[in-house]
Amino acid sequence: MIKNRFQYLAPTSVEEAANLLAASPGDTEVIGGGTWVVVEMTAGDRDPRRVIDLKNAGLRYIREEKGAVVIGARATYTDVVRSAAAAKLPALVAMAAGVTGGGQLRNRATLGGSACYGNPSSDVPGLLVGLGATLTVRSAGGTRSIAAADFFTGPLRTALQTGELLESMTIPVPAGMKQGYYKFKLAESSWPICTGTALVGADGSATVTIGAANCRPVTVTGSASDLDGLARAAEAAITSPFSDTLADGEYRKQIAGAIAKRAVKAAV
Amino acid sequence: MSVASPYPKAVPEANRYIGQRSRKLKGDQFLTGKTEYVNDLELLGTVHMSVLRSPHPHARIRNVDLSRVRQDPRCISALDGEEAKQHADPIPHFISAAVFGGKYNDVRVIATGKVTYRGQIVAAVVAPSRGDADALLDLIDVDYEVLPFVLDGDEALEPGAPLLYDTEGWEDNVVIRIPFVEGDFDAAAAGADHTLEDTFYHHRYSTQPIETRGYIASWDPRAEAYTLHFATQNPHPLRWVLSAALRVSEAQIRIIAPTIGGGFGLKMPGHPEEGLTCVFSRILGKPVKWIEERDEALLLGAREHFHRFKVAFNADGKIVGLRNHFTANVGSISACPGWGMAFLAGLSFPTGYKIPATDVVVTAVTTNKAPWQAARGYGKEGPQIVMERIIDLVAEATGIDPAEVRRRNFINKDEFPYKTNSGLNIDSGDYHQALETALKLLDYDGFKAKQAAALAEGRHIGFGIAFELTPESADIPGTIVGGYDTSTVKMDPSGKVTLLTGVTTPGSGNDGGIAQIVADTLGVDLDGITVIQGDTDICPYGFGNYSGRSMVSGGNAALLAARDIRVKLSKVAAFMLEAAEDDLVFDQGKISVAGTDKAVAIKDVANVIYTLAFATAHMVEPPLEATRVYKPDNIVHFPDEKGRIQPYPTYSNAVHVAIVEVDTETGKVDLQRFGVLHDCGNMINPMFVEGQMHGAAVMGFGAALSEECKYNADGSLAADRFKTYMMQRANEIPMVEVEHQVTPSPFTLLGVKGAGEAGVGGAAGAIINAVNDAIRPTGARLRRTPASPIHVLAALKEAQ
Amino acid sequence: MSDTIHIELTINGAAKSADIDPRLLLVEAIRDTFGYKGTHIGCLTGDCGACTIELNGEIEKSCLVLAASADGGEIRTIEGIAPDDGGLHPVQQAFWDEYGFQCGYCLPGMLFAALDLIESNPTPDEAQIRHAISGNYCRCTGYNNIVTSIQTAAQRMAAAK
Repeated sequence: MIKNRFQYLAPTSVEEAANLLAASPGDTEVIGGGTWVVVEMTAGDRDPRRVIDLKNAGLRYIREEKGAVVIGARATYTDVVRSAAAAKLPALVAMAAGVTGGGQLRNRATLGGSACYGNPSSDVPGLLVGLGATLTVRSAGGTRSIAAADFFTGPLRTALQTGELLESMTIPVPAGMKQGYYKFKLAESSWPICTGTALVGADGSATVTIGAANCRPVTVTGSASDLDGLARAAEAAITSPFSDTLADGEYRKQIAGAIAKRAVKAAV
Repeated sequence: MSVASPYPKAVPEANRYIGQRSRKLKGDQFLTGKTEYVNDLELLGTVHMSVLRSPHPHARIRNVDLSRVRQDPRCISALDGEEAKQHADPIPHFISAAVFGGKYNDVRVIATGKVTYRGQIVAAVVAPSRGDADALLDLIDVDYEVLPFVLDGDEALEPGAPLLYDTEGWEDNVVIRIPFVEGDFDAAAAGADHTLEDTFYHHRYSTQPIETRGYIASWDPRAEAYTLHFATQNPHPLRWVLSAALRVSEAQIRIIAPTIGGGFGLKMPGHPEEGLTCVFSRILGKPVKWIEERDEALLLGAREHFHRFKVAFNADGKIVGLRNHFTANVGSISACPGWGMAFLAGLSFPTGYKIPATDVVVTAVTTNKAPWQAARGYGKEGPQIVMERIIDLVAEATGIDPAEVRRRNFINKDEFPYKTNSGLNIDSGDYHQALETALKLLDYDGFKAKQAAALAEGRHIGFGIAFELTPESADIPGTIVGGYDTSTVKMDPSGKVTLLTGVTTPGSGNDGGIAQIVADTLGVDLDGITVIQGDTDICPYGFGNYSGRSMVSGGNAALLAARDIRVKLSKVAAFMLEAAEDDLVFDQGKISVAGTDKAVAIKDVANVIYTLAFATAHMVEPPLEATRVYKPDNIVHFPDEKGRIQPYPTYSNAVHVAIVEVDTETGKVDLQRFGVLHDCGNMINPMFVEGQMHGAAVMGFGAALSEECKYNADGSLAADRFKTYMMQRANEIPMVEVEHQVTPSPFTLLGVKGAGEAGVGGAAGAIINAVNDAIRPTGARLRRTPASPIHVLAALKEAQ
Repeated sequence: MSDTIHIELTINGAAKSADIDPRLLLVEAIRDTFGYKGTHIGCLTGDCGACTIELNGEIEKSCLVLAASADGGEIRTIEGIAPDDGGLHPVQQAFWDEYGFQCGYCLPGMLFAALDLIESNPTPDEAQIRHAISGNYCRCTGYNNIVTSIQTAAQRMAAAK
């Protein structure tokens, strides 16, 4: 049982949610699926006075818009797996289908929530950076867009300002490029330890974004025909390796090259 | 020395149930959500307890200030350690190291004076809801004098290491040092063709049933008695523990263990929260409930051993000497039986191998980690892993096939009962045959070619073998760990049977197994038997669940009790049928005369015994109730000429085989196939036995690959939830392929041996050997558990 | 701020409402407010699956959901799996016949994951079954007999069609 009392709010539009958040942003938590915030509240690690639940705010959608897939902040991993629009992004679908925790977890957890949590050791940051996503955030004053590469600023840190909440993520469909996603975990129960999101062009040019290994996702470019070169580049790009209880940064850096190669192989 | 059995050996003739795969009793209730676990009970007026745990691994408690919490309207009651002392004495140690010449320290329901681990209880509160109680903890102010701490077992043994206990007798951090020495190791080593030395680190991991611990204590001020609904494996022993700590007689305590959601040792007695809920209940006159949270359950660990061994062996692979002086980092001292696993780890060497000279010394050392608690295998699992590593190292050194080295060192089947160097009297077995069957299970002979082909493609696959000896059904002298148990069988006037027994089930289904024995003995339907366990006011005295003892002790006791009932039924039926007793057959609810169509329903005979006691049933004494104890043979507690005792009646064994592939780029181990040949003597229900092996083996997979009680440098537990304490999930493991071999125990009535603990150490040992087999071409060697990607990659890098 | 919040739900077909403490997790409301104790608590971190229910047709871990957040929802718990005639659902029957559980604590997760799987894939293979139950921990069975139970259930259900 959560130890301290709080006010529960379920606004019916994103504008209303932003206005509610603006009223007292310092002691308010916003929940999408809630799979991280609720757990931390239960554990006493977060202690808000108000909770804004986005369930009725109209943010559970995935649609195609101008060559991109737009994902509402409240869309779940299962929504992604079932979405016709998201099927244009096989790397995204592979990532969503591979999220640990069973169907129960994928039915509730959201990409948006994971993005806002900003845990380096997870799937979403590396994938969004790797696919060149843009995040739309809303405050009482309106919306602004942030490139994924700028959104994830460090371990458990994002570019979200006080009073802002995530509205949607826009992922361009990479025309003429093959996509690959590879995730390495220590065991099934493990958080991602190193992920690779690869885009491979018809000419063999390859871009690989390594997630979970560095404090912020890192992107390297090279050729799909020179995997060893890509691997070396990936390892070298890990300049501020991320450490947590499961794995220290040194280990993550050691395997980053192998993961980069596997992501490219998954794409071609 | 073996004492002749006073019990006639016989199995019931019908065997409708014994040896059959009968389904779990009351399975439909579990499957429809009707089963009640402790957290499901709602007692009127229940209030909720939460405990404040030390944020420091080692500190002196200068002051606990409860004034702010007591002013809060949500606070019903609050206590610190000094106040709790007014209400409770130290908790008796379930297995005291002092009994074996080791050291002792008082353990109380709330710490006083000092805390010696992060997570130790320093205060407790009671509130109307658990949420409120948790919130109140923030209002408790504790003033600590922080002390230097030590987490590593070897460091704790160094001169100048922080001393955990400043009470009398604690001149160092050694809890106990126990030698198991037989023969002259140095002479053996001098005479051997070869010796090798190496180390092995067996890491700390834990039990983690999905249901955590939970207690609801109710003091009735009018009756001056407690009723305790406790998720415990051992109701009667716990009653003894609590009676001493709470200053009441055992008769003033009734413990009722509801359905348990898994035990594995965690729910054995000695936990401070057991007594603490009682203290509050007595103060308040209300039921006080406490349900353990997962981060609390993860505090309690097991098995952190550092082995330094030297092996002497000849060119033919015969091992002639083993020296292993190892430390066991048992964490802080608790009243739980955890530390005893260090003792049994030493006692279990050298498992099922004949080694003339052994010099095994275990040093149990206390550190500022949280205490150990009993864990499936109870110390016997560690030696399996280390011995099996040693066998493979000898194979590597001599160039002899690892299976062949095992064959050359096993105890032969015609040598049983076999007395080991540590004094264990192994009952029976056929280890050579067990090995052959296990090897066939995964096509050992064909593997070498597959391995070579894989290696040619750059893939590293490996085959691992591990023999496992599991001493079971312990009786530890001078402690409340009994090897005997008691069962009562009652047949009511309508012919239905109620079975009460002192053994309890943590979920394994031993209630069904014991009922199968009774059903066959009496010739009645299994469906008509009601089993009652876990209630100290109703059930006969017994020790509950541990050490694979349920069939050996409770099952055989039920057989004896059922036979007593059967004797009465037989006499009366013979009179009714005008037949000789020897001609009667008990089956399908009827007693019939062999070779005729004459029969009488058992329920009618039962009715006659109750209602015609002075007529038809004049020759027997009603009612149809019998209580019997079964003391298995082969336990010997008079020390032999070398001072050794023999605490186990039965010795199950198994041979585990594993095939793994190691990803040398990441260090990740993929367990591809796993098989086990298991021999626990006669089986009452093979399905239940297999279920035990499946679960234990997969715990062993976790031990070998992913589960780890990691600590932070500041002394806090890093792996404090299931996101960091990683147990195995269904989609990363193969089927556990089980085959049986049956060498009945000559020392138990039904020929059964213990089942339930075997698997953890054997499975882990096979996997560690398989990993080493896979990475051998790289020159790497893994000298520790778990074979997690990080440790395997480190071993691979070291070899580069 | 108000001390309680009013919620209305359907649980196993029955309409339920209560004024609840907003601190309650859905699993706590299901168990303690509405009395369906068959849904269990094992970790409160969304890892073990013992608190699994069906919410609006999808399986979920009810420790991850605020009770207030489930307002208006249609819930099925383990108590609502068996048919009304007092018998067992074929999945439950198979778990009993194949010894697919020991202590029984993990059953909410295992049964709902099995039902969810068989509904979308009536002939699952071993790997698909293992994937489907991977959100649940079982500490007793090593998953062997759970896999077998689900295979048996799927076969029986397919044969009965």
